[in-house]
Amino acid sequence: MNVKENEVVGYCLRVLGDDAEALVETMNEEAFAALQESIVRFLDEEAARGDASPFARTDLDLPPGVKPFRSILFEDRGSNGSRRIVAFSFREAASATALQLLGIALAVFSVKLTLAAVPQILGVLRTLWSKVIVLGRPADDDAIDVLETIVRLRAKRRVNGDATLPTLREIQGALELEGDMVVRALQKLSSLAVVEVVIWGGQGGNLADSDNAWAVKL
Amino acid sequence: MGRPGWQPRRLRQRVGGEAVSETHFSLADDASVGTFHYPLGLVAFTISPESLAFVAAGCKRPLPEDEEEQFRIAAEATSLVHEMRHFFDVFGTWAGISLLSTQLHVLSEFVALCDAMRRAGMRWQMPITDWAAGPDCCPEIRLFVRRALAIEICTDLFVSPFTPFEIDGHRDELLIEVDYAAGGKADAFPSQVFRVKSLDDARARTVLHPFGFEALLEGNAHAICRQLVSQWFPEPVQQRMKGWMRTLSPADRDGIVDQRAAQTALPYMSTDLLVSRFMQGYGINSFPGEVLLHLSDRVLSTNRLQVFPELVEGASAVQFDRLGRAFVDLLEDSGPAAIASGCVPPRDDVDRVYDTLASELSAGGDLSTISDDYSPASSISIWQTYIAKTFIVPLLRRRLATSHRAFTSFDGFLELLPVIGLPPARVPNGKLVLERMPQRVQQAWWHCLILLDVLGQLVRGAAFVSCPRAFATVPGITTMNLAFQGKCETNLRLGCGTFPSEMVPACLFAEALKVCSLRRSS
Repeated sequence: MNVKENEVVGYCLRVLGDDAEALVETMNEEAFAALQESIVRFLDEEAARGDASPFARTDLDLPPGVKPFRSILFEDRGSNGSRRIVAFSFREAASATALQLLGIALAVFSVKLTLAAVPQILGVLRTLWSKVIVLGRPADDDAIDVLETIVRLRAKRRVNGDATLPTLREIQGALELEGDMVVRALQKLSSLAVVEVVIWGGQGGNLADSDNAWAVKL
Repeated sequence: MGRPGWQPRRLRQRVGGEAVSETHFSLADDASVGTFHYPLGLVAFTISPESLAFVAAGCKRPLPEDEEEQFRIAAEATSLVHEMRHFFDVFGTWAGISLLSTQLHVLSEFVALCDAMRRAGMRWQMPITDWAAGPDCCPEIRLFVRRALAIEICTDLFVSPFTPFEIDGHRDELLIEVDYAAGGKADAFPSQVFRVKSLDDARARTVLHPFGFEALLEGNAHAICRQLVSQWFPEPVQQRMKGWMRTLSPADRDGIVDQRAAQTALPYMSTDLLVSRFMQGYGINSFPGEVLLHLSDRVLSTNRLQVFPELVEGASAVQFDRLGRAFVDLLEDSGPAAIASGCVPPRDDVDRVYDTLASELSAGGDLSTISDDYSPASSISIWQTYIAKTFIVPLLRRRLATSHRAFTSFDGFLELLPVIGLPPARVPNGKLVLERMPQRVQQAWWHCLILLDVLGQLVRGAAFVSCPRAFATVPGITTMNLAFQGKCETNLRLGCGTFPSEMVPACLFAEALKVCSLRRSS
């Protein structure tokens, strides 16, 4: 499957179902552009590694007479009115899933989505990617499910104008997993510095506290 | 067509039998103050509050001191007039009407073929140009693709919306023949320039300006605007209007300078320059400005693009007249004395052609006689009938009633403006306004817009189809919501706008994809 430059954000968010539409509507133009550009540049960097990369890049030429495309990666004409467009394909399903999770995470946890901050956002994305991509199913099923739940719960709240973060109790409630398994998954994600407790429910340092509020660590 | 707003094309020049170079055309980056989109009757123009106040005061308001500001007001104040002249030249000349009918004819064939394909459970394979060349394409589809491509290329050659380019040395012919990379030849007027490095180092260069339908229309519109500017604005602004060109840095972003003079060129003065060179050949240095309108109108009244209706293997699909050649022939036939006196000898057959055309179009039924099943085919008929009855027939009648003065004189044109009124679609300052058209005609207009756009992309060999709303192929379109549920803006962020794609919302573009047999109906 090919995902074109203009489709990457929608591709990431589509796992949110109906919330995807509401989520992009909460973003101003610059925040959206920064998110899109960060993901596209990240995919491009990754694809440049060639066969070692889970992503492949395809350049598509627009035929003469067709309106130029506002490409992020090509700046062939004047003020970014390129006649080419870039598409990415995924060599493995796990990479696609990881990208989707990180795309949503950036959308809902980033505090500064601006065009000027794209280099920093890109750096965050690279770091997170290196940590998340080592998780694989079925060995890391719980960790992946917990990460996805944190991201989904936060997205749902963002859409409803709620600024709070999901607690361990809420994460457990959303998953059909035993409490210990969720805590173990969070410990693993925490040790990888993928997630963090932002607000401690009780005694600081107790990851198992049900009132701990969790976020993806950007 | 517009100010400046040219479509990019690739043109390989060949001068005197020698291949000179291949030129990649570039789209101008400078801001446009107006455009006209002929199959849609859409006029876009920009007018700032200061320019509007100037026009509202009968163009008698004191101007700002700054010459740059004065020129901007001049460009904006004449913007609507400029684009309206294009509108009249398309809907009120034989050449323009032939261009319109060609576009709508091929669109009708496309819609009929798509309908047949849909009923047979077939879908287009992209790029359709590759598919049509392969062994697994059925003859009917192959024939249509070849024919549509031939019409596309011939339309390019007829209109000649190419970017000018430079060659070495000075050429003093009236016209030079230039190869078009897609096939065929176009006419170009060679204007002489010098590339000056220092007082001792001046290199002679020639800029080749494409000379077809667009050059004639731009020449007409600019002649009228210059006339208006000469009444309202001081001499320096008049001179800038005469020599209007793009202002660019000496080198492009890659540091290349050898096409820079051509890149500054605009198509407004091509007819004027060509007539000037012709007259100078006879030692005459001036001629009345209105003669440009006479000459261009005669060429537009006696030449056309013609599509042959039969889809026959091996038959030529389309034939077009070379407007540049016709313009020079008319100059030579008229002679310098007639041109200098502002006369173009009359031709009896012109009246007869327009009279017949107006009668035929009048005889056809009005909108209420169309059997409307809300299909694309109905929409094309509705749009065709609406423009014929509302614009083409009144323009032709007025032309005949004034012995063509409505098209060949400044005053005649200005008198025509209130008679015809506003265009069916207009975009003042970026906002699309369709209110002049009845509701069903507006719907038909949208159908034609999207289907023409999709057809154009397919015929040009696109690997995917992009939505005209998403990629803003028409001015003002981004101010409209074409989504049946939700908003285009939101859908675009989620990745809609291209096909094939995972994201296909319920919208007019998605419906067009189904109608065009690109996407299966759910």
